[in-house]
Order: sequence, then structure tokens, then C-alpha cells
Amino acid sequence: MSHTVTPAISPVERTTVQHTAARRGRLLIVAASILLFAVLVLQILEAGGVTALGLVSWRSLLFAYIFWAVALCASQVMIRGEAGQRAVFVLPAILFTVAMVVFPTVFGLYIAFTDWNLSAAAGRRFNGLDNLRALFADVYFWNALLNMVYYVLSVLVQYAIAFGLALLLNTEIKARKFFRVAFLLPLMLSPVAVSWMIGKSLMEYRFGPAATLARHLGWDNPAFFSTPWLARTAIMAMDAWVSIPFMMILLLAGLQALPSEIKEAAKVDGASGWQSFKEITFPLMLPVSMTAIILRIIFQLKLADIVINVTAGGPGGATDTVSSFIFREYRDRSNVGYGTMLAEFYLVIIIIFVALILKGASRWMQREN
Amino acid sequence: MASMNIVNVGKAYGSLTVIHGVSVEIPDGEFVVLVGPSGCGKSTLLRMVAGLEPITFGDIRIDGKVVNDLPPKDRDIAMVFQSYALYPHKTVAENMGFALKMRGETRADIDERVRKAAEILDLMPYLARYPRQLSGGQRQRVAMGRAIVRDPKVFLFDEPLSNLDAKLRVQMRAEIKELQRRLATTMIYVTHDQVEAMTMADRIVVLRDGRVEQIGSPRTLYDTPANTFVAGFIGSPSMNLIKGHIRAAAEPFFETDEGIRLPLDRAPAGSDGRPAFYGIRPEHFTLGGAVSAHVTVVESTGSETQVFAKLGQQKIIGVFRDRIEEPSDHVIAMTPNATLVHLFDAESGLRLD
Repeated sequence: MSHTVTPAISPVERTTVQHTAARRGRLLIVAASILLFAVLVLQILEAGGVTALGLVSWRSLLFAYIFWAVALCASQVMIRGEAGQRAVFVLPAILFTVAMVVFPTVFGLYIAFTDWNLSAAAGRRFNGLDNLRALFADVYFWNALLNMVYYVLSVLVQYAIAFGLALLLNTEIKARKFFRVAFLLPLMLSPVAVSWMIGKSLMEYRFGPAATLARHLGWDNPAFFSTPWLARTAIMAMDAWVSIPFMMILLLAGLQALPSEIKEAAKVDGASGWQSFKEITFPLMLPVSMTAIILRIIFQLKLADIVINVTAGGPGGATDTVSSFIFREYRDRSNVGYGTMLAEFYLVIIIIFVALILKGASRWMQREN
Repeated sequence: MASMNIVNVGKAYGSLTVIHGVSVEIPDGEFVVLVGPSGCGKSTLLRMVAGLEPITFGDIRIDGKVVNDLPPKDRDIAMVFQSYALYPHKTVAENMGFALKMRGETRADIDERVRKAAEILDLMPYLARYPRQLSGGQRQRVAMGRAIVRDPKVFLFDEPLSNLDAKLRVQMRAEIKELQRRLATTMIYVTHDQVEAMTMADRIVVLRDGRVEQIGSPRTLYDTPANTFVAGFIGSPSMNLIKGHIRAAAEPFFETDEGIRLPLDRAPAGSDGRPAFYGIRPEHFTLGGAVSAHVTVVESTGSETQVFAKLGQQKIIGVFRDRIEEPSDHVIAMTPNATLVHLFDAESGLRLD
């Protein structure tokens, strides 16, 4: 719908006005672009030691970018009128994302192809595909990636437990509200706190209460983090303790949204509790389940804090996650170039993996419905 | 097929009693409609029969066997829900065959019976569709199909037509009635719509606040309502209830609070001077005669004319087959048919005979 206001100026005049505005707009964006480019060139020259204009930091480039961004928005309105105004609703978000996400990722890619150790006097040096070659030969990285497979699979176990708890909390049990809050408590704790409270204190093998209890129960040497599978399981258990409530609350919300009449209809139709779950509740919960699982997998791929604090990846890399491995690469070895290569490579793997899951999930759901 | 006995059944939530001992006896193959205003407990009663709601006291018997503590699946009942409660992730055929599948019948058996039910209900073209691909009326039919494939002892309907538009409702009403004739199965049908109750039921149970007001055939409820509630609930527009006193002279008449005389053909014994309600259905007025009322609105539906008027200070409605124009002096002569008058006690509201 367009406004039907009697034109104060004739259509011919109006097009002229529009033309003038469009020309000015183009002029503005060209000028802003030249300015941005000029500042960029000057900064590069300055950084290369060619000039000495006193541009100590890259801040002037940032200001030039902001100015360019504002000019871009303004010029859109001037050139394209209402369509430009519409674009201005989205442009700031895009420009912000470009500046804060896309640029760092691309710049990180550049760093990934350099040899840059913070403790080396030489500073940053381009070294071609050396980092990538090192990565493919790095058994610790592939070991961490294999561990990620186990950790991601553990999400399914967490899901099963969370679903059970959600079903339990969805029934008419006594003190339901209390249990709801109680089950949510672990989610409110920081994983760092959990790793110290539980991993480092409760499960400490000499004096930790859990270890003491295990000794009383007849386990001679309850070192929870000594053998690979035991350590991995202990980490998974701690992670599950923190993250099951998250899935549980999603599933509980889903269960409560199920229409009660459908379950009653199943009851009247003669379905037993298990049949009703298998035939009605579970299929109807699939969309919520998929959401919960995919969210948890995405979080799980970033698992690091508990591992870093409790085992630092040990014993022998058995509990290492990719994130904790990258963390050590940066922090312990100050190896920025290689660490960034690892992070960028892992990002690519995550993007492909999650895209495949989403694709598979949507296809599966379509078939189910 | 089965008879059903509801014996003094009640329901209480804590100290709040919502159903105060309802008793209904339903012979095999009867179509019983539970009707009442919202909150009267009719749906709760139906859910107790279905086994979805525990019974606080009393007995429910199917074929003489007490089923109070049996889960729904062991009662051999089928229920059609107000929202239809179809399984959204199952096709029409799977929806209809679900109960049979749960019973562990063979694939071939299930297909056969689903097909039969689908033929009865004109659902054959839709068997492979999902509920969301169906119209409201088709969904309603699937819900009924799900009930009839099981060949249960008793059918329960919980306001099954309230989500349909007016035209479809009339059509489905007839279809359900026809289905009941054909299957000759005991049916209990809950509705708040007295027209549905009147048109479909063999017998109607009128409920109010968890108590039975009257049980009887539609004709009985219409002709001899037991109290002012039933009188006002059954029939549309509802019965006029005019306040006043009975005068049982040699020529008995009814005197309204404003002193207007209304005709009576008889007075109950010993009722002279008794305060009472004079009940007359809107369709039981005749134009002309000694009683005149002050017209407020005249509405025509085409086939009939409704006259809203005031008799003294009391509002009355008359329905006439004749076409009436609103009189210029707003006065109309409309006289109750003395043989069709109902008298109710002013205090208890009970019928006086």
C-alpha cells in the first residue's frame, strides 16, 4: 500500500529530486569507501614501518569502519528510498556481525597459517601449510577428537536419564515443586565450581569423601582418574550431572504441552503405560527431543572446563577434549599459530557435523510426520 | 452391547463434592444423553464411567459387573472426545486401528475392521491421510470410527459436536443417531445443548450442580418437567415462568403478582392462594383473548414470529406461526392455552399436579 497524498510537486520534478538524492547517496558511499581504504593503506604502511604518521594503534581504522558503516546505511536510504529504509533495519546487525564474527574468523584463518609462538623472539611468521601438516600428524589432536565421539555419544545416555526424570516430574508425585527446583540446582552451578567441588574435593583419592566411602565399600584403591575409562566415565558423570537438568527442563516443558486428551484416548483405547509411551508420548515428543539433543551436542562439542580443571586431559590424554587440548596449546605452549589452526579446523568439523545432524534430523522428522 | 447401572455415584475433590450421588439405569442399546449447564458435572460423570476419573463413592456396573476399580482398557468402552484427541502422528487408518493393535490383533484383522468402519463413515478415501489434513467434520468421523472399530460394550461421547459449525452439527447429529440405530449399542452422550439432547436421546438425564433434576424421554421432559429448572432448560425459547398465586375457585384461575388473571383448566387440590409459578411455553400462546401484554420487540425468523412482551412487570416470550407486525399501540392480546399450563411451587420450584 502506498500513500495517496496529493503530490505537492509534479511527478517530473519528483523524479529529479529522487535523482539528486540518489546521486548524493552514491557520492557519499564512494567518499566513505575511499576514506576507509585510505586509512587501511596508511595503517598498513605505518605497520610496515614505511611511514611514521603517529598512528600508534589500529583505532583509526575502527573509526573509519564505523563511519563507513553509517555512510553505507545513509546512502542506502538516499539511493533506494523506502527499500533502503527497510534495508537499514538489517544492515547494522550485518555490519556488526561482519566486524565481530566474520572478520575475526577470517583473520584467525590467516593466523592459522603462521608460526607464532608468544615466547619466541621472532614474532609471527607465515609458514604456509606447516601447521596443517603438523595437525594431521598430531596424535594428541586425533585422540582428543576420538574422545569427543565418546562425549557426544554420552549425550544420548544423558537424554535417556533426562527423559526419565522429566516423566517422573510430570506425574502427580508428592513435593513435585520441590523436586523440580532440586533437580534444576546442578544447572545453576558453574562447571568450574562443580569440577573443584566434586572432581577435586569429593573424588580426591586420599581424603575425598567419595573415595573414603568407596574404600569402606571394599574398593582398595578408589582413584577415580587413574585409568582411561574410569577417568572418562567420571568426567562424563560430572558433565551429566550439570547438563541433565537442562535437557530435563526442555523435555518437561514438552511433556506439559502434550494435550492430556490424547493420552486419555490412548488409555481408553487400551494402551498400557509402556505402550502409551512408545506409541504416543515418545513420537509426539520427537521434535522437542531433537531440539534438546542437538542443543546438548553443540554444547558438548565445546566441553573443556571440567576436563581442564580436574584431569587436564589425563591420564595419557584419555579425557582430553579438543577444546581443552587447544586451551593447553595456547596456555601452556603459547603456540598461537598452531592453536588457531586447531581451532579453525575444529570449527570446520563442527559446522559440517552439526549441519549433517540438522539435515538428518529434519529429514527423519519429515518421514515420521 | 451391555446394560449399565450407575448407582448413587459421587465425586469429591477434598471437601468439595461436585457430584452428589447420581443414579441412572441404562438398559442395553439405549441412547442416553446427559445434559445440563456447564459445571453441572456431566463430563465428570462420563469420565468416571470411562475410568479416567476415580469414583469417590457409589458403584458403576456394566452388565451387572462392578467396574469401579477397573482401568479404562478393561471396561470395554469407547470414548469420543470433544477435541477428538486423534493421534496427530498416525494416519487415519492407524488412528482407527490403534485400539485393535493394542489388543494384539493381527494385521489382516485390523485392516479388515478398519475398512468396514471406514465404509460406514465414508472415510475410505482418507485412510492414508494424517488428521491435520482433514476438515473438522472428517476428524469428527475419524474419532467415531476409532470408537466403532472396537465394537465396545458402551460408547461414550463427550460433547462431540461442539467444535463443528451449526450446519455440520445438524448433519452429524443425524448421523450419530443413525449410527446408534444401526449398531444398537448402548451410548452415553454428554452435551450442554438441549436441542441435541431432545433430538438424539432415547432418554435424557438433566443434571444441575452434580444432582439429577429429572430423567425421562424427551417428550416427558417437554410435557411434564419436574421442576422449574428442567422447565426452563428444555425447550427453546425457554418456558415462561410467571409469578403469582393460584386461585382455586369454582372457576380456577391464576393471578399474577400484578393482578392479571391467567386461565387455568384445573387447580391442584388445596392450592387456593398458594404462591406459584405459572409455566407456559412460548409456543402455547394463542393470539387474541382476554390477556393482553405490552410488546417490547417483535422478531421474525421467517417461519415463525417471536414476540417479546411484558405482562405487568414480568417478561414473557410468545412464538407464533402467524406473521405479526409490531402493533402501533404496543399492546397485543395473547392468551395461554389453559390445557398446556404447568404449575410449580414458588418456593421449592417443584411441579404441582
